[in-house]
Amino acid sequence: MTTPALGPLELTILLAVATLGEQAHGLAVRRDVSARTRHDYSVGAVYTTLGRLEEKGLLSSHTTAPVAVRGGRSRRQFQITGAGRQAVRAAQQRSAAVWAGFGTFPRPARR
Amino acid sequence: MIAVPRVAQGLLESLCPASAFRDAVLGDLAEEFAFRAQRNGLSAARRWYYRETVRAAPYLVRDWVRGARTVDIGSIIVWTLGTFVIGEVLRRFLMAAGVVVAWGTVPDSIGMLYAAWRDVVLDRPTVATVVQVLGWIAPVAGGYLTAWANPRAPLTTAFAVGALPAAISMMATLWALFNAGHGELTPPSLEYRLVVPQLWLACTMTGGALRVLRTLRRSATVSLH
Repeated sequence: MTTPALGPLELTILLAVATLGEQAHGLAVRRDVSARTRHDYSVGAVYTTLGRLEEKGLLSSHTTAPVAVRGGRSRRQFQITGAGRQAVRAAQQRSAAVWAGFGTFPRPARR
Repeated sequence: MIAVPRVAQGLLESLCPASAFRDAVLGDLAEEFAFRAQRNGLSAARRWYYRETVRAAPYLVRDWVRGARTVDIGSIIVWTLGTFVIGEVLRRFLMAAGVVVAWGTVPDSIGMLYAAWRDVVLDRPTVATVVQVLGWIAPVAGGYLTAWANPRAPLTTAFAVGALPAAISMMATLWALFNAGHGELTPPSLEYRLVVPQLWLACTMTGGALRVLRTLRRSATVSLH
């Protein structure tokens, strides 16, 4: 079975959801992704990507009971699926294959 | 208990119908706002919320586009045509009123109206300016009524009603420029062709925003962590 190709943000979000486990709701994912990438992603960008990953079958989600701190809105809790785990492993293998045999950059020759 | 910025939240809510996506985005913004208000103070949290409102808006519009139904598209076309036709009728009525105010005569035909109006523009610039400013009531009213008729996503539909003719007008200008080659553009001038569509869009958006501000519910209060 072929795994779907993942963009950098998709892969980072998938990793964040896998790492956060039970705590993988939208806000926690956004904080985790921003900390990993050192880039302040907007709420919209993160949810759009989470939605796309869900459409690809790599994530599943359910809504929790309404929470007061969210103005009475519920949280959306995400979980990585079997296909999602497979996609992460495939991305890891691809990355390892790309880096294989590379040590460090050769030092520039001194004049 | 603190409240998230009411206007910003209302504008975000008016961009797309209630959906899981909208709830998730607004919920996250509220939660992060409460966290930042406690950590950095209320003004810093408010500034953050306004900035995030601007950043989240395109994604909410995109969510509306993805879920747009045929009736939504039909409504935009009807309100665009309605606003345009009413705008043109109002413009001629105001021109006639301007001629009456300036010269004290009622034009007998459209041809005479245009001829007399040219004289008003040249000789009575104050009257002409007042008439031209009043002419912009039509797109403002069009945007307001569009937002009123489309309560699921009032601001996005008002934007579409302004953006559709603006886009057509810009394409027509590009076409005219392409066909003019090295020659002169026929009137109206390029500046007029470029500025008027933007003003039309700004006016419909203003109308839509006025409607949204009128209907703002009490904002959600969030408890500090």
